[in-house]
Amino acid sequence: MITPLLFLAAILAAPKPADVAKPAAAADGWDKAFEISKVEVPAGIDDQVGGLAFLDDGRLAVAFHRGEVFIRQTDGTWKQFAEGLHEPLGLLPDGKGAVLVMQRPELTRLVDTDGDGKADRYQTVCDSFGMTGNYHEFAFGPARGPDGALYIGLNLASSGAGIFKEIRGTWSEIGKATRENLAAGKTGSAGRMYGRVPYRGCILRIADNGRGPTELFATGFRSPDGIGFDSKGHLLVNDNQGDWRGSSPLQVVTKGSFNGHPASLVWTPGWNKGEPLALPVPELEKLRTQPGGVFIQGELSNSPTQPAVFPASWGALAGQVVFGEMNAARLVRFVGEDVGGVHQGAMIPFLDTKALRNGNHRLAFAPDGALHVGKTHLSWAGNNGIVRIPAPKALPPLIESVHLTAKGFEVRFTAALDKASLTPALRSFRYKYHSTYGSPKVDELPLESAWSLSADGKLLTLPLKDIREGFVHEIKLAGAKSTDGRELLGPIAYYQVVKK
Amino acid sequence: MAHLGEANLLAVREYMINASQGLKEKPAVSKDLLARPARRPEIQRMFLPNVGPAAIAVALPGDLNYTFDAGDCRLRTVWRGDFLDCWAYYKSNGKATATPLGTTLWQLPADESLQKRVKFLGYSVDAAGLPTFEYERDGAQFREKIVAEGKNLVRRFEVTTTKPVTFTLDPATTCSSGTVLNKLLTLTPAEAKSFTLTLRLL
Repeated sequence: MITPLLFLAAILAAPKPADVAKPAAAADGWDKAFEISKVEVPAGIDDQVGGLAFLDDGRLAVAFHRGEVFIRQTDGTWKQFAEGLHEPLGLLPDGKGAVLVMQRPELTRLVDTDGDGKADRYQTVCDSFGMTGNYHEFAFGPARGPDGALYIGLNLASSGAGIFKEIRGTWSEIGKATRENLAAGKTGSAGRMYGRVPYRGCILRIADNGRGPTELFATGFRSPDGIGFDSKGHLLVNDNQGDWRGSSPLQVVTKGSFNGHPASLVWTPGWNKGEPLALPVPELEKLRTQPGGVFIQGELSNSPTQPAVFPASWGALAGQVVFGEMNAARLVRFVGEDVGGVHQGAMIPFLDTKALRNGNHRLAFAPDGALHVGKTHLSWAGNNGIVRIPAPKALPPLIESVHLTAKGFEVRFTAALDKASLTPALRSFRYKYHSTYGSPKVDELPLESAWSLSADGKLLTLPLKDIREGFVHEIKLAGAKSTDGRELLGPIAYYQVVKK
Repeated sequence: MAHLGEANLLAVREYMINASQGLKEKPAVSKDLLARPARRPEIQRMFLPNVGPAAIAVALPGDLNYTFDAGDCRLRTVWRGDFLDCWAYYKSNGKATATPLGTTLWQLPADESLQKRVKFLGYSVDAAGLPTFEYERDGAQFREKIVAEGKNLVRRFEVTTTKPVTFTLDPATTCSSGTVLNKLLTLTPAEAKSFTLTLRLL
């Protein structure tokens, strides 16, 4: 029962009339297969989540927009652990009584030395990077590698604003815009995104769990919000669609790699090629590492966020990676594989339901397997609060994996599919690599396949003649159903072929 | 709202469009619904005016507030009054600095050349909530705790060093020990072990 006033309020709150005119979404298949519930947050705070993780003892620790860290106690109440941080955007447990938090100016270890449940030491782990005061210089991470080192990601500045008069770090003279002009807010010649203090646009590695030296690990990022390791030890870092980012890429980052956005090339040791934004695109193309996966703009993700690895309780998905997405009510799975020494794979929509809502920023699995998603918006598209999605007793029909073979693709499902419901639609396309913001899909090629479904209904074989390196291969299975009549959820996969 | 059906939704939408004709849209409310008085002491890292971007603001018991800059490891500004209005920052994505509330009593100009001589190590928080900043300057290990005593700000230092430590004193600052020559305070390693600088404020 909805009272008229509440009903009107709900209509008024609807963002666009166009949305209202669309048929409202019925409870969908995702809704039926997964339970999404809100987690109560501490009272009286701005519940935009910058960092979220489960401690070794199973308690949930969350960093919020205004600089607080809270820990949910075993009785369900929240206790404040720390406060006063500057835009924390990542949190990682660090043994008993300690967490690492990435805030704008530094990576900090918060330690409760006297055991009273509150941090009393705010120890600077890494602040050896510059800050200009530009709002877009967010800092992300840390991710802990199998090597025991910590990895952090540093944003470029945005020409949406200038810089402070006083900065931290040594100013780079490489670039058209002068420091004086930028400090006066004149950003016209800066480039859409710019990095004029070390090591904006880079991934840094801090050895020995943050106790060792800091080194420049990789260049080429714009806004690396999602940084983490998969179950096999690949460092996965995504970036946001924009200049030099036709659609948000997933970079599989190796030491010394250049990952596509040129501004940070100036921090390459021995850089002597001047303004990287002025280099010919073919030269940059030769330098860059291709993304191992692509978050398709509009269809998968416009602003991908943190990766998390499914635990064993998620059955066939265990060991796979799931990413958050800010703009749409959706998550995205990445199923990667090594092909010819390159890690690449398929992006597949997950929890693609309005019930999830948007703003999906920080992901962590509880010890009982429940996925927790912390939300934020920072005045962009997004949301706030935390939701919880328990591991289902049994997975619904999903695309389990996509595997590239010498002859084409093999698509595996979590349930037996009804052959009569299958009408695979295939094509490949790519995005332009250029300084313009975003890119249309280009060089599209429809693909034909004499496909077959295995006798158990769980393996679709798609022989293909025209597999192209550097292209996304779209496998669309709209309308597919399981043999028991359930809808195939997330019936599309986008496989980025770097190597075939 | 799915159970209402599209036809009903469209009818309501039409009603809303008709009923709102000629009405002006109200400006969005921009007020910090979570605003509260500072807890004293309170520590907040924030973008602030007249300091570097890695600033730490502290509200002391009483009505004094200061900014310690983690970039150059110096006390940079002192003001009397309420603490901070951070709403411009909090409501957006960081494209704003917070506003110190009250009257600025003291501040030091920027000196980016100091950054190469210092290393910020963090701070510890005592039972009362007051921070002690830890940093290195020219190889010496500094611990600095800043407290309010009457109208003055007292900076308590503990420095571990093998060489003499120097400060350029401003006219408002006096030292508990050491030798002053042409505004340059020099402390021997023994004197530097524990001393205070007192900042006289109006």
